[in-house]
Amino acid sequence: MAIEHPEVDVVTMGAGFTAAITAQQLTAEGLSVVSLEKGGAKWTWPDFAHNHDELRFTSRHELLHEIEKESWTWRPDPAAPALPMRQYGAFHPGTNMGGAGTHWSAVMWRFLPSDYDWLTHHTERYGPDALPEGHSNQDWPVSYDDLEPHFTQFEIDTGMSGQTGNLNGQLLEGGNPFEGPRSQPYPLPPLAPTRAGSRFAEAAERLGLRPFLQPSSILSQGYTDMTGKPRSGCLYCGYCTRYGCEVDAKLSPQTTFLPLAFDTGRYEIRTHCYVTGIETDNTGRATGLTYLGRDGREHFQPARIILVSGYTMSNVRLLMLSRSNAHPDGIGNARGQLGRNATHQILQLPSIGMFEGERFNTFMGNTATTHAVYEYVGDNFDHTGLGFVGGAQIFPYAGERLPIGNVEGIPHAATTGEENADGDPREWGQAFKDRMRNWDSFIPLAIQGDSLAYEQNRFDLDPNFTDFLGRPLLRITFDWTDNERRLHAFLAERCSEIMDEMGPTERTDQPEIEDYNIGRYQTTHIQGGCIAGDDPGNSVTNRYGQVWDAPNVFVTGAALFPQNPGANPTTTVTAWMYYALEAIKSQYLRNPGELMS
Amino acid sequence: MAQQERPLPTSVQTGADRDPADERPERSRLSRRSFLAVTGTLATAAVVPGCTTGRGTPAVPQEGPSAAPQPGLDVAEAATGDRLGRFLDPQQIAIVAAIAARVIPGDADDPGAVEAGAVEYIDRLLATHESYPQRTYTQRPFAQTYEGDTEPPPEPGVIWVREDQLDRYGWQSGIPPREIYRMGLPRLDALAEQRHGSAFAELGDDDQDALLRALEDDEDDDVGELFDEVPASTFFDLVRGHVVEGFLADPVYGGNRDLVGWEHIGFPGSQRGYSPQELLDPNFSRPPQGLAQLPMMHGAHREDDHHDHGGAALGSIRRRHPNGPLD
Repeated sequence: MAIEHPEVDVVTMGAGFTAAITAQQLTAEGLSVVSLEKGGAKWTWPDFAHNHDELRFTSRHELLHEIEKESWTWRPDPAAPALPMRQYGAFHPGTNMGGAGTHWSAVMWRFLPSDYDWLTHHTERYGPDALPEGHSNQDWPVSYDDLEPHFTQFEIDTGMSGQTGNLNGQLLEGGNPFEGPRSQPYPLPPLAPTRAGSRFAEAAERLGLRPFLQPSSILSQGYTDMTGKPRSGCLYCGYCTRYGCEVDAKLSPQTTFLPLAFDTGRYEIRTHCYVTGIETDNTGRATGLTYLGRDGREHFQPARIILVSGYTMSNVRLLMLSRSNAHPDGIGNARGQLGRNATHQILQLPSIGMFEGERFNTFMGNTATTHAVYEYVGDNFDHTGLGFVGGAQIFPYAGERLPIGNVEGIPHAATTGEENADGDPREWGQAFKDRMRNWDSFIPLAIQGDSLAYEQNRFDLDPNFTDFLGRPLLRITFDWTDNERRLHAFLAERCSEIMDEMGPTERTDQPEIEDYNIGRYQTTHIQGGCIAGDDPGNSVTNRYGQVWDAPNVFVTGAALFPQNPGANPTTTVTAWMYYALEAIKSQYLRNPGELMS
Repeated sequence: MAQQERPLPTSVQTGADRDPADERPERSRLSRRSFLAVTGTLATAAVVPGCTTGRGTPAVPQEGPSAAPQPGLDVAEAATGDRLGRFLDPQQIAIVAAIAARVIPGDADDPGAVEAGAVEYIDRLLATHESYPQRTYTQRPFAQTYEGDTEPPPEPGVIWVREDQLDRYGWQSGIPPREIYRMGLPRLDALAEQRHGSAFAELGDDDQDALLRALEDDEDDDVGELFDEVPASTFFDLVRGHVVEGFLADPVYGGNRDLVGWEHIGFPGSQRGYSPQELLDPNFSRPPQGLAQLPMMHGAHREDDHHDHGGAALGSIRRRHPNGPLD
């Protein structure tokens, strides 16, 4: 028998960004909220105060989800075998209070307006025949204009750094000329420029591109956020992604949303609690979450609203595993929509330049402290005759560089006998030791781009592998298609042109995209699987993340994305949460039921 | 099923340890970069011969083949005080030190991995982590590879993967690092004996390099015969990676002694921060420091303390909320 707790208004899976935002907003409305967090609790002080340790946090993944208890399997296509990711590779989900929002990079892009009405836009511009074979892209149920007030509010609430490029339709010098129109400028100026970023920007400008400093949820100056308390500006310490920020400059749930929720006395986070299922009654209505408590026993937390607010794949899996007579294939899966449109954002380094004798101080700062160009993102360029759709931003991958993970693959003059049987340089010996000295002298150009949706790329439950409780792991079926291969080839040419202009002494170029590999880090931006739409026939949830067949179950995060635009997802994840909460507060709480029918 | 700890090949065993009845079973050859499936259960801790409690005399012999002076390496010197012998025995120390000296060569004037304490780093790592030093999902079944296009018939407990596809799946072995060291080190010595008639640590640089290249490339024949349970490249990659960690990780882990690794590459290590002016300084330089030298964030618990960055009070740093979870 499960240990039953008193009913609360809202229960959330995990205590990451969307759960924390929800807790802050709904406790302010007088509601009681409980978050069930599988990890522990870490705070800026003292947990992040003394954490500059690459081995512990980057090499050994201290802050990541416990893959040893619950992993994911992957196969490139349905005919191939699926094997588990046994050690961390392609993506880095978080754990602990704050979720991945503590160890993230805090790069903050709004998607382009044409990313939201993707199908309509591309069909109108290029015709239906120009879209890739087997694609399953569709329009989002929300538009840029729907989300714009929420983007802006989130920026003001939390503080954001950036150079405004489009203010109410007026283009401003120095910002991103391609961004959607903003109703307000960024609250703070952009983060400081770096040597590598400047080198890239000068070359890009000579080629007629318009580089700008990337926007970020890292404060460039002290800022008093919605808590009414100040937070420090960035110290550019270089221990950022995979680390918690010791001065609160990097936004996290701990810095802003959680303290406010706790202030009300109506919020509780239960740590070391592993959610196992959404319970339903005889009618199929969800009644709460079951979980394994830290005492090792089964618990049940009844709630009027259930927020499925873990990592993308955790959300999809929980819905799939929550089977009952009323929901035989899992919650939200009555029409076979659950698991569709699995996407994984492309991040590649097509061109790496060595600048012998120069130092770029790449161990300082963050991924976000460089310039970027946006000419080749999404549909910012004419795709006629190119044989692919979508695009990518280009930026120098040169900040927060730490030594253990970055002394290999340094470009160097080719000499005989240095390659191993795989054709890779031997990363050992005197030559390796000598190359190491150049670890701060090279600049990779990165592309981060669209991952479109295809019928074949999806999530389901694995038949062979289980978690520590014996329940099936989620299986990822995902591979690049010709569209991504051509996209990469095109972007790699653009990177090469910029690199030519940067004038390296040695370089490594990779025109072809490498095979998708679950063992190599790509991005943590896995999306889809529980997509939002306007119709139960093409989606799992409506535009508020409300599950079509279970109106008191709300899904949050990137699982809702019908496909993955060419930028980091958190901006849209958080603004979409704001958008959904507005409807929950103004309509659902007064009249619980379907917000769209 | 715990992994059986394999005895050392006779070539490097002392008479007391030798068991003539122990014949290594015949196994099929492993293909390049593929891992043999084994049980995912982890070996129970074995009593490590020669392991000290961290006090007293280290179990490093001052004489005998394993202690022979090496170019750029003095095992006895590398094992001063009670630094070594937590996990590795003297023979293993000699082999690891010899590998480390080839992966990142050095001498007193231009320190390499051995001078940086990488052997101590590895010894500590293996003593500390009975299974994997990092999070690893170890559940069965494991992958078995096949060559060609025809997948072998299904077998319980086996997932067949085409050999040229295995690389796409990341780490797929169920054998934890300790066992890979235990299996790999004596086999490297056995290979050295076969090819050159002496232990690995006693060979000259060029012969050692050739053997390490043979491991990295999973060379055919004699290498494949010896490395029948773990591919030679897996063993080599693991040790190589640990040597790099021992050169470049924070000194708190026993390597990067006196910050020589960071000095070598010009990394300031653990700093509280850098200014926007320093971000742009082409001649920036700051002496490296480790975590131990990183100043504490004094005053983060005091409401009245201010610091110089961005005008925010350190007193406003987000600490555990009274209503928040304890851990």
